Amino acid sequence: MGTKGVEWSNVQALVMTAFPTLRCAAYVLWRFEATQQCATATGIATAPGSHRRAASEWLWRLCQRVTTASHVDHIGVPPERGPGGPAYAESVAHVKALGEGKTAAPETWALNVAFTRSGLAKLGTTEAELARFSDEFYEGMAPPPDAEGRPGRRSSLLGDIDRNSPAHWTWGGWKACNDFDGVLLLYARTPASLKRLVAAELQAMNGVAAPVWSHFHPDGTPVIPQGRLYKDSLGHFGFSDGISQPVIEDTPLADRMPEPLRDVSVVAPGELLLGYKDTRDAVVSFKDPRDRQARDLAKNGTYLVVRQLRQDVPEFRRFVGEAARAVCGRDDRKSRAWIAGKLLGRKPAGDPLIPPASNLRDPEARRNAFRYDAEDHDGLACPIGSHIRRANPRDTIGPDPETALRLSRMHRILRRGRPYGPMLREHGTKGRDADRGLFFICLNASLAGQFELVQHSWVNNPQFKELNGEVDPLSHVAADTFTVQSRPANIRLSGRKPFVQVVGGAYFFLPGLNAMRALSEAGLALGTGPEASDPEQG
Amino acid sequence: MGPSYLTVLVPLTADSSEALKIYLRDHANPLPPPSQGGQLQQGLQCRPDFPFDSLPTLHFCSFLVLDADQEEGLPAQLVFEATFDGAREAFVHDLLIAMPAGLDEVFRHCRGYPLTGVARERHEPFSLVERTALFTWLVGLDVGATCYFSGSPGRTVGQIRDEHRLRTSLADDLAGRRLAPTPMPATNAGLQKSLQERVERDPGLAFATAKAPVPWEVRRGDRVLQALGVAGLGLVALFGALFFWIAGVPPSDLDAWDYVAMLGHALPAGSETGAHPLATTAAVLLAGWIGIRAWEIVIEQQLADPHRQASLADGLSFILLFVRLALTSLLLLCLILAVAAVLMPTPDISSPAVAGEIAALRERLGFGTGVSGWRTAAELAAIAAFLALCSYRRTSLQLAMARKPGRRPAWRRISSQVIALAEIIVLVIAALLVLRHGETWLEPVLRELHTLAAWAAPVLLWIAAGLSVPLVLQVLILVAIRVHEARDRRAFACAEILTRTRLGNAAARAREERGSNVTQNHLASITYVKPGAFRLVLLRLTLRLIGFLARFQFNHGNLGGIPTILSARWVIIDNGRRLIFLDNYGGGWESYLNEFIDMGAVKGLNAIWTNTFIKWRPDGGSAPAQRVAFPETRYATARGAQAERPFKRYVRWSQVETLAWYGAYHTLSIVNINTSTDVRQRLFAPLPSHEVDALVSHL
Repeated sequence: MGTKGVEWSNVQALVMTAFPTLRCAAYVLWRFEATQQCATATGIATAPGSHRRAASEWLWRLCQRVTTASHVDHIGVPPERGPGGPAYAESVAHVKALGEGKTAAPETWALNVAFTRSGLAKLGTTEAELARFSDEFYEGMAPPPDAEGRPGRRSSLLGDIDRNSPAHWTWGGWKACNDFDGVLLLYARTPASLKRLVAAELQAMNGVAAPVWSHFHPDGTPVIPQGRLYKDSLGHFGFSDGISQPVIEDTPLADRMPEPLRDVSVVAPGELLLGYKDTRDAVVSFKDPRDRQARDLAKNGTYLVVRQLRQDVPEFRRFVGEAARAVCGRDDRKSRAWIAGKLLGRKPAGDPLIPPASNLRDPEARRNAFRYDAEDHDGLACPIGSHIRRANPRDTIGPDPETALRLSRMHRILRRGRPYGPMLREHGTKGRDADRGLFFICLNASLAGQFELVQHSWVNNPQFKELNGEVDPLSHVAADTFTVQSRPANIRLSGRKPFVQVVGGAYFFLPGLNAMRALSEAGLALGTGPEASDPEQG
Repeated sequence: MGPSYLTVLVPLTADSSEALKIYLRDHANPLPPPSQGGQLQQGLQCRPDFPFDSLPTLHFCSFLVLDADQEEGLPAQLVFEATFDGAREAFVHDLLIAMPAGLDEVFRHCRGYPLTGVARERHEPFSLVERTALFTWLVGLDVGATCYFSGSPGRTVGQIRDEHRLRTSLADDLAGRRLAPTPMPATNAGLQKSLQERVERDPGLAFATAKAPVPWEVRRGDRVLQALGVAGLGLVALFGALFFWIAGVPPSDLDAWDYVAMLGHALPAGSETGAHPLATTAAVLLAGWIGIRAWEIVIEQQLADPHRQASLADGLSFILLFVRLALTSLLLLCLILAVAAVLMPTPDISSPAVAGEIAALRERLGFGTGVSGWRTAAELAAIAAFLALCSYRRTSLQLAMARKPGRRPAWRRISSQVIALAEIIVLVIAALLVLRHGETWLEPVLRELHTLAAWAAPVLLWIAAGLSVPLVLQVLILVAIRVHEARDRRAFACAEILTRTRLGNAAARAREERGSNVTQNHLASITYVKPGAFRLVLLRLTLRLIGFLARFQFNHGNLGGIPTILSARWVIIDNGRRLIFLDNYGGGWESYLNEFIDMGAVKGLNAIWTNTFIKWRPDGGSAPAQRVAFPETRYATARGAQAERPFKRYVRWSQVETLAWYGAYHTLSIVNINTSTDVRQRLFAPLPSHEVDALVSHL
């Protein structure tokens, strides 16, 4: 990775790639083993010496197994045999030894890890350091309700009220399964190899940390949440997902793009990674001019948003079918595709509703190098309130298109989500009511300015542009209607019930390898005594 | 220009602020409308003590309590702000009749309340005597606003609601017909007609058949600004005349040519050295003008991206503007004089060098030599070809700028300006070429022109000289600001420290983006004005200027690029010691503040708050407060808020909890309101087809 500036060998690979070849993923929530915890002034317990040491050792080993951005090439495929240096080879061997299949052929896999505030605190992050993380991360995605049971500001901001309330979440909410310190993001090629990888990692954390079970079989046995990448990145609603992604400037991927695609895709590194310049030329750094010893835990890290969105595919199909009958007069495949396309803003295969410029050859550019203002100002092709036009308005929100495009670069998110649950066939009824949906996972350097702003000010904004009383058709927030800009008059689709429900979620910090090493080194340096005192607690 | 506003500020009696806060939260703050399946509903549920919705003229109102500041000797104060239609007196009168119980309960906590000690039945109306006393008291407490902005000027609550109803009814109607089997009208005119008929049929929408009145400030805003510009130039010219008079050159004694001679002497290429004083003067001026303009464009281009603001460039651009204006007037002077002189068969020129030059010019242009018509035609054809070339080049430059705005923008703009200048000069020459054929019958016109030139010349020269006044003033102010900025760096803590600790002050933002404030939010911020008369004067001037611009320029729902402010006011209170900002805005806090940072408005924002600081108690405890200044600005307008994280923290810490908030149309954005008005105003106007199209696209 010959990239200016960014320390890719310290950045976790998820920033660089969605692991498209590793189709199976598992998301393991975990918590440090409960011990006799000492309460600190801040209310967060720091694991006492011996446990902290064990945790640090585990973290140290984990550092060697974590897939970094320099392990994957620029297209995002982990190499078959680790080119990432001896540490990588060693860690592969380590996991193979842990796994059951010692004789298995070398397989590719990937591991990333992210922490909650309590996780960082238990690893010895001081309160002063924690205070410098963003307020949103510090408070969490679902801060507890007030004394009268009213949801907090963040829940309202994200639309997590009523049926989406954290009160009903299966994890991360107010009641069930909300005490975890981090998440392991595990990726493998096949279900079998994923199973082995999960088993190996659970064994590795044994005694230090334990998985936190958020999902259970009807018979009560725990299930590890898994994401699955389907052909063409197809989601449950039948559309290809994750097409438009921000790309960090000065990377080979960005340099190779044709100009129109670069204009809509390339962002400053600081938009996706802490410790680098963002669009406003500002850098988030924990370095302190007054304190040279201060460690910079932010550098190369970023915030990870995980939200489990349950998708009601039958309801989606019912709405699309009825709309097709109302608008086109018939409920055939073509009319349904037209309606669904208007809701999404793309055709099922991912092609935009705005025709690409004829001189573009690059297939990626043909799918994504479009802008709205000049080509579809009034939304006659791609409706103003459609999903992709809200989630990434490109050059439409601002005083003029150029400024708007520049401003929109401050609100991009890297989407790394994957569907879960069985796919429902077009006319199938088998497994109609099965639990399915999307593990929405995204990365951004500013939760407030990126994920939350996109959610609140664009996706769920009832006053987006000139619209009034509508939200993104794929949002979990209720709104009855959706306007399709058209002539001679606009078409209004009504009778929408949300097809999506939030059932879990949390904010994590995906640290750089440098920060993980700094934390584990500090823990290992504490000494070997069983109750060695913790300097941070003095 | 409506709406009107009222800001009542009154000190509280000792130790009553906590009780008052609780009362206002529980009894004044309207509840959000009951949720129906999560859908956004209209109409806030007012409490019995405060039936705000019974006041049909009330747009917004809010209550807050400012805590006491012992250091400064400031008592705790109650703030009540209201935005309403009509006269203040009528509103206060209605207010006193509508909510006696609530007002009595609240004002009992206030010092100087006229009914202190008077026993009253709850919900008993005020008697006439009580009401009169209260009325006088309240009106006397009104501090108004130092600067006020409305996003929908001139519209009443009723009008805003009616127009929204009109738009939704028409949209419902159209949407229904779009999907009905009966065909839609085939033409846009037919479509407009059918919409008009729909309105005429419905008595509830009949109001829309007439256009709503538009305030004159909105209609004539541009004219006012232009008139002000002309008046400013007049003032500048007056200063210039004064200079000449002081210098012992009474203007009446001078012929226009004397000024040119003076100019020639003043410029490096003086008449005594060269043989062509006029040409050299003009050339030097022209070169100077182009140079200055180029410099300006380069700076403008730099400043186009607010995040690339060079600190000095901002101040420099003002100076360059003044210099260029001066050069423009001198150039105009030269041009007028030269044209007048060339046209006169026997110009009356005192300076021999200039006279010789003019004579040579006349000869070269062929005046008085009986040029043949063919020669003129040929010359004109050549000029036309040159002009066509210029126009081609300029158009292609413009197209290139429109298509690929990012590439060498400064260079393109400079070249297009130089081409335009060349076109003007060539056009003047062409006019002269034509005029040489009509010298005899043009004689009287030329005399007139010469008189005009003789009159205009000194004025232009005065303007050129007088511009030194604003120039010097500007430089002095910028230097003074810079000195203060350097001093503040030592006197105050840097806002950067706010980013190093956890954010407190949670109560102040608890109501944002939830409950009643899902779509419209209220921001109340209190900051201290930095000590010293300079800061206070600067703040007052800035606010007055922004208030003026808000009235005459930014009166279309957009304050310097921010399209989300519904109604905002800045008030300097406590004898100039504090600045309170009360703001109703649409959307979320984060995106709203981003607009402040990333739009042109950041300059105004910086210019206001650069004069302020906050008293920061990180743990809210009793520890002595730290004085933290607004993020450092350069020349008052650059940087500042562009340091996003310190700025947002500064705003967060300056915020005060809004204890009660009412909005009459809390589900509408300013864009919604203005779009609805636009639909209403154009519905019955004769519209070309494409405008009907635009109208229908809003429905």
